[in-house]
Amino acid sequence: MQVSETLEVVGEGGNRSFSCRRCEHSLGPVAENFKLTALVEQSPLAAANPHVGDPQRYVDEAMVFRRFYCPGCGTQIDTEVARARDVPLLDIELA
Amino acid sequence: MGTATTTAETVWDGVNDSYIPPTPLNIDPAVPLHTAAADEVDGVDYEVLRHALWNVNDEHGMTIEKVSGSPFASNAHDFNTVILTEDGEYVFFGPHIQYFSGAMDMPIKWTLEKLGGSPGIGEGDMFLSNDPWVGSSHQSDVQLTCPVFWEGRIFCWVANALHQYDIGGNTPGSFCADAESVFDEPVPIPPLKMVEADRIRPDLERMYLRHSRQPQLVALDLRAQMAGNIVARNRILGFIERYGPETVKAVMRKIIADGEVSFLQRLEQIPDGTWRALGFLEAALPGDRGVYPVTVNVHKRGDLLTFDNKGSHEAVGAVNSTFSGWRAGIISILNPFLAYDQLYSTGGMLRHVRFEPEVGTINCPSFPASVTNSQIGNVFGGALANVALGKMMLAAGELRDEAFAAGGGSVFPMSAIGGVDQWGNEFGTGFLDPLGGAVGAFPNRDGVDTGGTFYEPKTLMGNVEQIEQMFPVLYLYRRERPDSGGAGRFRGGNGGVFGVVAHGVETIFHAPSAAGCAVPTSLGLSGGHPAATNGFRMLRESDVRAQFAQRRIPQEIEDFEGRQDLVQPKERGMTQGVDDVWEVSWCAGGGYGDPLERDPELVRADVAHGRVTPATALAVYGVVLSGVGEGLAVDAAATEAGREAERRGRLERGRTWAEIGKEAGDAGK
Repeated sequence: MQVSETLEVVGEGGNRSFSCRRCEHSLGPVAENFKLTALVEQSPLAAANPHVGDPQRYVDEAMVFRRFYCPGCGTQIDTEVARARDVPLLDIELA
Repeated sequence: MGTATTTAETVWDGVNDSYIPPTPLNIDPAVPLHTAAADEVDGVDYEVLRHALWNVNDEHGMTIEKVSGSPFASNAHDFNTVILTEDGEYVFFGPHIQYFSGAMDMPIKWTLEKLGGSPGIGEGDMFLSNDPWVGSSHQSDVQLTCPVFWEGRIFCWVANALHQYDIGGNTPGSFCADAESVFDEPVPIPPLKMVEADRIRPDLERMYLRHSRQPQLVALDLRAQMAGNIVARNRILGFIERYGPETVKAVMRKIIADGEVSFLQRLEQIPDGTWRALGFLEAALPGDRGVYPVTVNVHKRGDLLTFDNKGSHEAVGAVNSTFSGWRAGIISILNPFLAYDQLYSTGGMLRHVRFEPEVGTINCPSFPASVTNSQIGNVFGGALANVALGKMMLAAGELRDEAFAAGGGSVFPMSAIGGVDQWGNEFGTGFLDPLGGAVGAFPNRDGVDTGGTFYEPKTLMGNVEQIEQMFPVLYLYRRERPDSGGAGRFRGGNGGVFGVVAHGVETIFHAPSAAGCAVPTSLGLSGGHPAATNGFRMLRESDVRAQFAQRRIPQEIEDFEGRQDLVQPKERGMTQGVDDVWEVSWCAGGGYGDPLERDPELVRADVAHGRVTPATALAVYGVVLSGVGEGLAVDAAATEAGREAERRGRLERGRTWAEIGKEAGDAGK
């Protein structure tokens, strides 16, 4: 079952796992956060968009831009804006 | 309607915490409701009346435009209209700002519950309200609700909400950036009977207008709202006379029922699960340097969607939005995502949607939190709902292509100005140019550059000439910003920027009130990048007059000499002099998918049309171009080689979260 542009769920029942739609590399059980299996590039927020400047002009919190890559093929499967101190958001939980 | 799952002592009555109507309503027995409906409706009659009722909302809106003289109503269409059943269930939203309508069932239900006995609800009455704890997006969006009577019973309701030019508070224009509580803001008014037997009550109107710096415009707006309701009411009464009350009521019931069936059919395609969106607001008050998480989480189980805000920060400063605003923002997104073919009929859909807010949070604050800047809170709540629902829809089979990333209205950068104009009159307003917005990227196509805000389909960004006519400003430029849309396999729509100088006056007072300046708020989907942030810039002591003397019209702030001040997202006491240039830029649409998968020919076309810069084409999309003008071309071999190298680079640079978390000291947190 496709769950995003880059992810699908394969397997049945308790053996279901996330898989890269480009190379079929496994990204962990569906009960867990696929971002913890992916590779992460954590950059300054300015990497998000050419018009995003240094947030320290306005805020004290360390903010980061995270790009999550498939460890098999390097496809960028997700991004997120986060506080540096936060773990990646668990944003997909299939019942 | 939502069911709170918070502390047992919370009383959801619109006093200390938001009003959440019970099911069923406790309507005073003295209130006569018309409930009879025909068992069946002829198919032709149904379609005729269905579209006629839809057009009632449109004509209702046009009446407001024609009667009101305010820039918000006439130039920007910053209002909406609505039709509801006798007990306050939505039949149709109007085609303007959707979240205005999404908050209007609550004051009507409150009126039915609280005012039915005294002062009573009579024929020709209209009830004014703007209390965000009862049900309003914020105080400036003043509602006027009107029961439509047939043979002595309430047949249905028509209503509107219109953004008022100035409704009081400590800041001209009523966007009170430094409000620490509601007591620094416009007075919230629970529903009161402003119109009785089709006459405005002069005693209440005097009290109401006394709050405003522009009472004559607010008075005109009140009459515009009243006129709109009368037009809508008379149209519906005409339908009843022609088709009979039971037939018209049956059509209303069927519109809602058909919407419910359609919504359930779509829900069947979505797997059960939970999808979350997290974003950040900054600058709770002028000078504040904090960052505050805001969440919208959606849970799909069977035939029910449930929204909660778990993980949102507690209420803080002047960035809060009450429950009704948060709910209305979500409804605004649900509507185009899952009910787009129902002509903005939401009643059936909402029978299967629950809202479970945590009280005391940034999107469900208790009285007396500051709430008038809800253009930040509830709009951002809608943008996060956009992201959460977008993720959900990507798992929904044939519905997948209906998803899209957050757009250029994710947080509105309110640039409020005031002072005394060239004719000696006090003025206060806000620039509505950011309503030009942008639409986020789709799974199968790009977003739309300055495509407006999709949940505000008939709202306008304002005509420059009209703005210059009404206020002492001169526009230097207003244009799209290249690269502002989020990168991706499909690109988010670009947003825009404008610059103005003072015209005919020595000084303009500014009170900008925004968020999304430090942290991007228009997030991407499936590997797409976020869009640009909002931004304010003030260039001091520029050479603007010298350039005008040389008959030059600069196109961007960099074309001027001058000293640039860093402007914070919220400021008070800031002024603009005759040589100062004020610039506002607004966020754009988020991207969809991996930028390295974007068709190189689309990137070339973007560069050729000035939508993407050559630097971004190479650095973000990995597209190598050669030539210029008509000869601009993709170097396919170099592009493919570069993209492959970048994918290898990602594998080399990327680390596991366990490694990053260990460095940060919170592995396993």
